[in-house]
Amino acid sequence: MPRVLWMIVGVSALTATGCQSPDTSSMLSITYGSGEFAPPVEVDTNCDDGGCDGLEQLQATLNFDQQGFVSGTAQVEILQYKVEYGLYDLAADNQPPYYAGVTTVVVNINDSVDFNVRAAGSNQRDWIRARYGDRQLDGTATLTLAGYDQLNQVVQVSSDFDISFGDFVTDGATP
Amino acid sequence: MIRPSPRKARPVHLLVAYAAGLVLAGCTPQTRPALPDWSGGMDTTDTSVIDTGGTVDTTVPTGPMALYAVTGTGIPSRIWQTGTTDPCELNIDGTVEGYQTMDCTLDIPELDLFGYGLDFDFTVPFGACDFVTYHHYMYEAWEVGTGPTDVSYDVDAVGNITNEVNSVNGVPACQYDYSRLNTDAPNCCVGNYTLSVTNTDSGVTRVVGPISWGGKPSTCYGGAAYIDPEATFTADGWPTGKIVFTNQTKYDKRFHWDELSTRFISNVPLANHYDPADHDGTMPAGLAGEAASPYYVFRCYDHAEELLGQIRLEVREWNEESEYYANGDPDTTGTEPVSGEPIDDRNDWATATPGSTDFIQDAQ
Repeated sequence: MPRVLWMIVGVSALTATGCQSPDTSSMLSITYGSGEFAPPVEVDTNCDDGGCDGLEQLQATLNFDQQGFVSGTAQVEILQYKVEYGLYDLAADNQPPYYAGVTTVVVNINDSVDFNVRAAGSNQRDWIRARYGDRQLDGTATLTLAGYDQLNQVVQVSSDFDISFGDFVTDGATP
Repeated sequence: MIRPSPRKARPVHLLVAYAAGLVLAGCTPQTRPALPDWSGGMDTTDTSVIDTGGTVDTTVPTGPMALYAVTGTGIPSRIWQTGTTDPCELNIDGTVEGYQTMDCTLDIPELDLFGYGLDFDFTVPFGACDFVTYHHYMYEAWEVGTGPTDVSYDVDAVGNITNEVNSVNGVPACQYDYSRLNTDAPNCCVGNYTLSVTNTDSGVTRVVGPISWGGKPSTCYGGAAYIDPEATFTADGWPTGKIVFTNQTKYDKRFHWDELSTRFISNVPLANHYDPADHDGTMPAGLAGEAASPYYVFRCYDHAEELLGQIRLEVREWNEESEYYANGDPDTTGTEPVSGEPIDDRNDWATATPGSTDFIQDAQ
């Protein structure tokens, strides 16, 4: 094949690869370590009793692992997150309202970034306390991050972690 | 003549450049699509959301910056863009270049304002503002002014006072010190004076000064900023505007003022609307004061205090319910057909200080 024709085929392949949106979301994952704010997360529903400082924080790691052809400068910028709850003792249609917040987490391809987010807020705390008082409710929660990749495509990634609502104090022990 | 070879490299370079252009320009959206709307889960009271970055915010606002009337209270108020029947919704895009401003009017029948109070809701969408600020309407109720610089009088050995200049019975007098004649009124006289007292028997003149007139301008103002249940004040008594770090989250706040009837005799403390036709083509003197704020003002800022959006609110009280519902004339006058009671029961700016020189003083 003449050299020019090879180049045209090569360019076509490059064009096709470049214009097909790489599934960046599938290359993202969230993991949790074992640090101070690693799950399980304890959400104090009675801030007058021991305070809420230090609780509710969730430490996680966002991983961006290359799969297939991806530009070496690929990057993901996370801008918001939400947390949805699945408490064991509550029906699926009777869970606390989801929590959401904004953040900025930037991760490059083949890299990882640690970040902290809140796992719940006053709406969730009030919702639980109004219905179940100081009762401890355990379950899981799903953290979902959303942002953009280097092609300005929306990316999302989710992961579950353990969570408990109850009348905790800051050292993590129930009073 | 030498013809260029069709196998020369230049056409290949062009193809590669063209293809690269396709990859770079054709595959990258020029604008980011909106992220999922999770504003319903944003905790507006929680400003401790951790932001680990430093990148420019590019989030697209998920709705309008707006003021809404409160429903379900039985009070028939409404908020429209001033001069229209459109909602008070400002569709800013979260950028300095996209700055917009809007004037809105809250309409409310006069006894609702006087006997119930004032409610409205303020909202900014997710992704719009790093900071929100607001301050409320305030006016100069008692004219603030600078007193005379010289006070003098003569006094004889038995205490007879004569030849008084800016003095009454030996007491320095400033027209802006309303507390001289009414202990409930403020002293709005600022500046200093020199006091000269001449003993007519000895011919000796004692000169003392400068002496402050002692006025406190912040006590000479009134309005919603002062009677806001959440008001805070500077050390010298001025109400402070509020600044809220919203951090791009959705922000909702309900404002409420209690009824005026327990403290005032007019609706002026909350109703800032005025018609220039009632005030010599300009504004009431009280709203032209140096520290006056003729509007309730709501602003959206970025981190560097660049203004992204602004809403200014007027509160307008209506004299007749039928006119309110017909969106007719808010300032009808006369008497009710059977009872003979006045149609305009509570003063607003039009009736409290017509013209442009009078101050409302204790007729608030």
